[in-house]
Amino acid sequence: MRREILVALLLISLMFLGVYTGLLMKPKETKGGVSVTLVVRQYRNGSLIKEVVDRKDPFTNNFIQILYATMYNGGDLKTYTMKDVSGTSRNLYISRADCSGFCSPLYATGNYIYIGDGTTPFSINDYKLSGTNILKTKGSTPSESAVDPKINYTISASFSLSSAMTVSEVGYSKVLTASDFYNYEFLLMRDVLSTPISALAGDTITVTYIIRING
Amino acid sequence: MGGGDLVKRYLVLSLVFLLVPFLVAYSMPQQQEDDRVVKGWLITKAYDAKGNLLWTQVKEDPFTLNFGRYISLYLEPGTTTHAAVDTSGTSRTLRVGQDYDAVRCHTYTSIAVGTGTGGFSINNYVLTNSVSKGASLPSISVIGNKANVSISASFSFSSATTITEVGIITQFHDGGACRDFLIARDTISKSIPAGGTLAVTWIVEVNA
Repeated sequence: MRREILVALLLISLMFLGVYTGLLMKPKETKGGVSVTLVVRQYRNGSLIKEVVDRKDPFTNNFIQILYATMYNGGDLKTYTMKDVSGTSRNLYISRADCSGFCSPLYATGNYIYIGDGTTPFSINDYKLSGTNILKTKGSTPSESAVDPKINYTISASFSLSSAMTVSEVGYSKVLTASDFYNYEFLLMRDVLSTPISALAGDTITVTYIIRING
Repeated sequence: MGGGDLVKRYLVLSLVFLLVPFLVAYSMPQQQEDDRVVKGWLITKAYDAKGNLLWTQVKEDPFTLNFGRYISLYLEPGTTTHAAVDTSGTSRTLRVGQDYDAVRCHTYTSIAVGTGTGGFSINNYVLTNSVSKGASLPSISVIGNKANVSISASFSFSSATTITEVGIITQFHDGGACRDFLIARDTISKSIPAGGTLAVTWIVEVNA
């Protein structure tokens, strides 16, 4: 009887060992893709009051136009169109051979992170935040972390509130040079928070975007 | 039953209890949350010499570090440079916020197919053994809040060939000239008969 119990225990142990080694040796496939995680934190007197973590932060049509321009294999002087934060459509050069740089999109500098009190659901056609109380500040320099096969980029911004506001939407914009050689700001991401944050004057709101490539 | 038979029986039983769970766990599909907003899809189709469809494969295509460095140019607040390795293996400078910025010449994105081996790495900068390269104009389709941007290329083979790798190559400016950069690479293992055609489509799905 005792031997049978020992044998049963041994077989159960082997079963678990089989499952464990099977999962451990399972080949990991690199699927690719890009994930965007948005982390919004509220601090009061230096203490963390609330944290909202939203995944699948969506991109606007402006970002899609950038992808399209990247893939375009046309000739010189071709342009693509994006809508700036004022709602005006701007043409940007895909290429212009006679220009050293001042007419090319990435000649401009500047990126901004926005917070606002709008609650209008995301639309791919968004070009600005939807609220009436909107704040913006410069985004940080992206930090890169690359551990094969994954690559992460993180940018962040901090807002010190001088008055109370509800933070219910967040956006990211980039300044680019248009074909008229002027620089304009274009919204590339906008997200309505899953849980709004009620902030008071004196609170600090931090926004962090984590962009993960291949996982 | 003798002692030797009993030991054999226990050994067989032990092996069964070890191997069956191992095989079940090994072959189970991975269950994990998919929070990706951009997916790169590689669709390959092979046709015989008469145009009959032989097989279709749909795979997700991982991005290289070059793609990351390119995307991060759009996250930069000021004037700076990023390094990327071109298809010759030379490290080049991608600029933002200054003359000869990286995107002033992206006039050419192509699909390359090859017969090289070796798994994917973010540090891949060229196909291991490229045999052909082609391209088409990109197309955009927007449905609701989702969008697809795609390019495609077709390759003809006079002799039977097994294609084992596919790459996406685009051009960036490095301050001196437009250079080719590998931004995605995937391994496949598919045969195309003599006189057959391989059609490849790369779709970047946004807000997936």
